[in-house]
Amino acid sequence: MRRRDLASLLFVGLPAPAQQTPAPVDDLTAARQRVQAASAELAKFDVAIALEPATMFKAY
Amino acid sequence: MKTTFPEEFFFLSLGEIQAKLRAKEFKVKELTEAWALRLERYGPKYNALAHSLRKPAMKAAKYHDKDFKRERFRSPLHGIPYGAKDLLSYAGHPTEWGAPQYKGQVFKEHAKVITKLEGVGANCIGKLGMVELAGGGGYRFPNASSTGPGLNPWDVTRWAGGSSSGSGSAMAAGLVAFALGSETWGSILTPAAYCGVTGLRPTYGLVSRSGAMALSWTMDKIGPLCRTAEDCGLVLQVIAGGDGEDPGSAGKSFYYTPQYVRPFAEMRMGWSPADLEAVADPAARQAFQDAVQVLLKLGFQVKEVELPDLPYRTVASTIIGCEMASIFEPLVADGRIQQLVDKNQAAGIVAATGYKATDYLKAMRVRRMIQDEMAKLFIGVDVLISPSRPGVATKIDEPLDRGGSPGGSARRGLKDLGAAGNLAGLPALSLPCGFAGGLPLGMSVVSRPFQENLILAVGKQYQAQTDWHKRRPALPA
Repeated sequence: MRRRDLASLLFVGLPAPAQQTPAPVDDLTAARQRVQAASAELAKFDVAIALEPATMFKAY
Repeated sequence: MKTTFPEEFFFLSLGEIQAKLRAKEFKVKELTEAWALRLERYGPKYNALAHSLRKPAMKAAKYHDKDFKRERFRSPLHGIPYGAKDLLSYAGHPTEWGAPQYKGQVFKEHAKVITKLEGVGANCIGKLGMVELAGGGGYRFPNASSTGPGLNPWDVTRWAGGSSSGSGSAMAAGLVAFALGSETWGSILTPAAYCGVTGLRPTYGLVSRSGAMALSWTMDKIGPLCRTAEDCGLVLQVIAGGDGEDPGSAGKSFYYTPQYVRPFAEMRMGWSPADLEAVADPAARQAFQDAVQVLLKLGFQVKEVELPDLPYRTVASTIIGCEMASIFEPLVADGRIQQLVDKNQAAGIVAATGYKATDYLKAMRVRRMIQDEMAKLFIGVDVLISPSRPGVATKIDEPLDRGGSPGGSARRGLKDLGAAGNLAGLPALSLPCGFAGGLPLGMSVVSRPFQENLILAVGKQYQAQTDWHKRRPALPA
């Protein structure tokens, strides 16, 4: 197995290598992969420790 | 003698209908009956009608006629027939949220917005079709609704847009004088653009959601779809206002006063050429270019802008996914989620229960950054303009998850303004701005929170110089 293929297995949500035909996935598997991809993208995003979650909206 | 209403009557603005009512050209009862029968006749042809409310509306019309006889005018909406998305409860009548699981569901009380409209004499003649559960799970095809796919009156092989499908198509076909829809992420602006009507997404918290199905507590908004920007202002004035029963309520009222908006020459309009480069269809691109030129000539100072590089779509889908998973957890737990028409949507809701608490909180923290960045953007501009959708309505059998348009631009522009605007709770107005291949296009005007009068003033001026909002489709035989 090439390093690139291994990477796509480790980081769920990365697109499969282009030269391979992706295995068919059912709706639920595909939806779970989207959730994991979103989770992975958010995890990579740096935020300041002091930043609190959004709550109310103010006029400005 | 019984009044007959010509076809063009059903496309008049609220002000024009109200003037005729006050001039006693016809009675509220005649108006209500004509419009309710029209909705019953044509609504099913577009899958736009969830439930007719002709009987209660006719009963109310009798009382309204007594008011008009005594010249006791309650509001510009007095006696006007309208439709409400089936996500809003109407006491004693079915409210099914477009989903098979909720067939026959009846609430004891009206949604707050319907109570408010009833108080000023507006008359609800029907519940309008919608995408099941407002589509939060991610549906693959437009037929994701217990009433069938929302069909576009301009071409019934095309989608009306979602999730306020019935609100868009009923307005386009003149089946109601105005409609209520809701938006979590695109559900007012999309059907407004696809159906060629004017749609207003109010600032988050300005309109009470009490009595409405919740999809995402921190993102849901209720707003009108109308013939004109002015009509949207008249409806918003009634439905806006604080409500202790809605935890998201901002406690603010709204008075439609576009005349007091600062002169456009003192303000800046932001736009991005990249938004037009992203439009694949040359005819649509030309229509958007023409619309931008009209808007830029309204007198604003003009500035090219683009959104900061932030993960708008991921944040929006995570927040909606987490809140939706909590709201519909009982459906997942007992397996009823599988009764949804669109299996992709059922899978999306089940999968969303797999989000972690830290995912939600991270998304809400990044959302704070997005809100701050949007506030900074609005230091330099007063309004933003961008296509509501990058093209015309999709075909009814075309998968919605097929990906973006092939004509995408490498530059960000304002392409993610839909996600960013909803995350920051910003108001937006979609204006009909032209046609491509016989199908309508929409242009959005977005501003700071609670600046509805500004975007409505822009819309009013734009509609004074164009007639796209006056075009109407031919009805089926």
